[in-house]
Amino acid sequence: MADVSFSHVMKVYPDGTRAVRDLTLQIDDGQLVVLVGPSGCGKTTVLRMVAGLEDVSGGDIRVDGQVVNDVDPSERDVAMVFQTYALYPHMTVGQNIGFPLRIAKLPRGEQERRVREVARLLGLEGELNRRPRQLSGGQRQRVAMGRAIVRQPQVFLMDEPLSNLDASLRFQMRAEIANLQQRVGVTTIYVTHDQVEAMTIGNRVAVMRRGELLQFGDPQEIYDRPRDLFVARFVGSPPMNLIEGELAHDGGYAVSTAGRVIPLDAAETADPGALDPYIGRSVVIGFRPERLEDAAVASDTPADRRIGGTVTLRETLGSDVLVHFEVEGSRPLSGRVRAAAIEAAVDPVELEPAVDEPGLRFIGRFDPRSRARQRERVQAAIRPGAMQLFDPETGAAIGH
Amino acid sequence: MRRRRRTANVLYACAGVVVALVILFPFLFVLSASLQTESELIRRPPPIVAPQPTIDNYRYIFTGRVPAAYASKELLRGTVTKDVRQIPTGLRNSFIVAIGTVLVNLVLATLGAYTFARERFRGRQAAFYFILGSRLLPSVAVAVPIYIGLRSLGLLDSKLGLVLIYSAFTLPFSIWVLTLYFRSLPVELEEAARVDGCTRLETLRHVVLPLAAPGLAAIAAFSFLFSYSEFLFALFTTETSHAKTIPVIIASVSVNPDASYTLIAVGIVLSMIAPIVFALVFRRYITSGLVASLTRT
Repeated sequence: MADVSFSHVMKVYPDGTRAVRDLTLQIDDGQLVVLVGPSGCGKTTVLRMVAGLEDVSGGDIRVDGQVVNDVDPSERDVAMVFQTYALYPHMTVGQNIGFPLRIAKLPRGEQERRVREVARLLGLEGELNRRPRQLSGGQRQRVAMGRAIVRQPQVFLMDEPLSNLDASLRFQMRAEIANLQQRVGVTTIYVTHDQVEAMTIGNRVAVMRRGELLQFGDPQEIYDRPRDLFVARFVGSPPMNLIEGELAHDGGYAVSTAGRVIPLDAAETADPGALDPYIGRSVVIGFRPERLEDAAVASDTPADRRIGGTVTLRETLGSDVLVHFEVEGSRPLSGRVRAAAIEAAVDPVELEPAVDEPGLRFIGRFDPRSRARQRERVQAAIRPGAMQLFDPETGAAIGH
Repeated sequence: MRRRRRTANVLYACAGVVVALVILFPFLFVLSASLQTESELIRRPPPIVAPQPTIDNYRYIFTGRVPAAYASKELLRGTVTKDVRQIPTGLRNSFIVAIGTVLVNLVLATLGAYTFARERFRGRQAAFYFILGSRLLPSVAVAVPIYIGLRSLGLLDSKLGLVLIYSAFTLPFSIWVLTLYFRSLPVELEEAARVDGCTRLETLRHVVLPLAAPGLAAIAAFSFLFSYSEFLFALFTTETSHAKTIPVIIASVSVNPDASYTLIAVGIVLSMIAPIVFALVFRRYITSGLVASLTRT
């Protein structure tokens, strides 16, 4: 077991592509850190550099304090689970799991003992003599995990290990991986493009985009206090609703948007020093869907903290309903904000209908008692502390 | 409709049988000839099926016991060609040379092809096409330089010399086929092996080679069949039975005007056994190996 640290790590491919730019990150011993971001953000490259499968173009990667930039993959004592599992098709399950031990030339008896132990841990005892192609997707996934843990390596690397499984199995394996990691307590770097997976599995989450680390923190912190518009939109499903408005200070802070003036509450104005420079200027206001509620249900919310629109779609989820509505009097987001919002919303796994025009259409996660119907008008109440403000030029969060 | 289809099928089957007979007839005739006595064979028309099959001709080649039928004075060609007694030696030489070439191919083509398939180095593409292009040169064009080279190495009239020549001719194709085969294997398997603690060579041994078995079988069969039956270079670099291979011996027997046709037939039958066995055993791999390496890329 060991900690892993990145110090100004860069990766430039021979064709000039800068896959990773100046990554500095500290992963403590025993942590499960998820690297998440849209495809092409450099997360897999980071993982492969730790494994030694890609050269490091600049900076240092340290495992347990030792710089490993030039250490051969076979000497690094890391184990990796590949997206395709990469099971050896000519070997049985038992031989696959025991392969790292065989290469390490452990005594035959010790090899067998550890393979059996891992097989029992993963529920694979009955499959040891079968070949990978005879197994189901979930079993293959377990064999790949088994091959990684049997060595008791210093670091686990997992590259989208669940992306080839169907939704229900993914849900089940997600919990199994988290449990297993806690039980063996090995430092783990986990790569995924699925933000739900990232939030549920990780002790800490690192959001990446275009080779840069945007935010690193625990999942709740990233969800509650996204550092910029991209993170705000990328994390959370359905994504955060965005609208442009103007910040004013007339007795108290308020934003004017969609023909209304909505006062900010105490939680939203905790850092007046950050807000003041924006008075009289344009800002982007973000609302998480679950921080909106049908005003007819949430009658206790102040009457001026409302936003109204016409319902375009009602999706029943059982525990709550997703109500899509077109905000009255809103205008499309300006260029940069819109680009960031749309880029982050493309999520191939969730197959969320990529919100076509952020800023016009909102999604509220309402109580099932809500009576909102398609083509009817709805008033959404804004819950306390729901509004988050962003700089429309830089995308940076205001006031965190 | 159905009836017409059935008629068509019968016609196809008949045509297939005819084609097979045309292809197989020379071989079957040689086999039949090797089992007859000389006097039966030179009748006009010659019998297609041996009337009284005998293995005397085979026995002569291996033991030197002259077949009884040859004692008769009426034979037109009574001379039992002494040269045919070299056939077992020729078979052995051919076999040794062919196996030697196969081993050289397996070792060097594997290392070369793996390097071409997975390593990036300056001039890789150029070297790869040069290797492939060298196959396009007619082999006779390099006959004289090869002869001189072999002579200066003191390897004329030696099996090792033949192995070197045949390896030079077969390696380009073998490297090419295996490179395409290796490239068709998923690279994650090798990466997994590297992370699992394998060195490059261990990865090759434990993961790549077992998966590339059909490709290896294909190049083994190709280099075996090529070197077993090669004639031209064997003819002009060998001199004695120390290194003469079976095609050379059969040729020298058959140009002898006194040669016995039945004994030539025996030589031909014996020389066909090894390639046929090899081709039958590896048939599946040869096609699957070549097809895989050519289509998966």
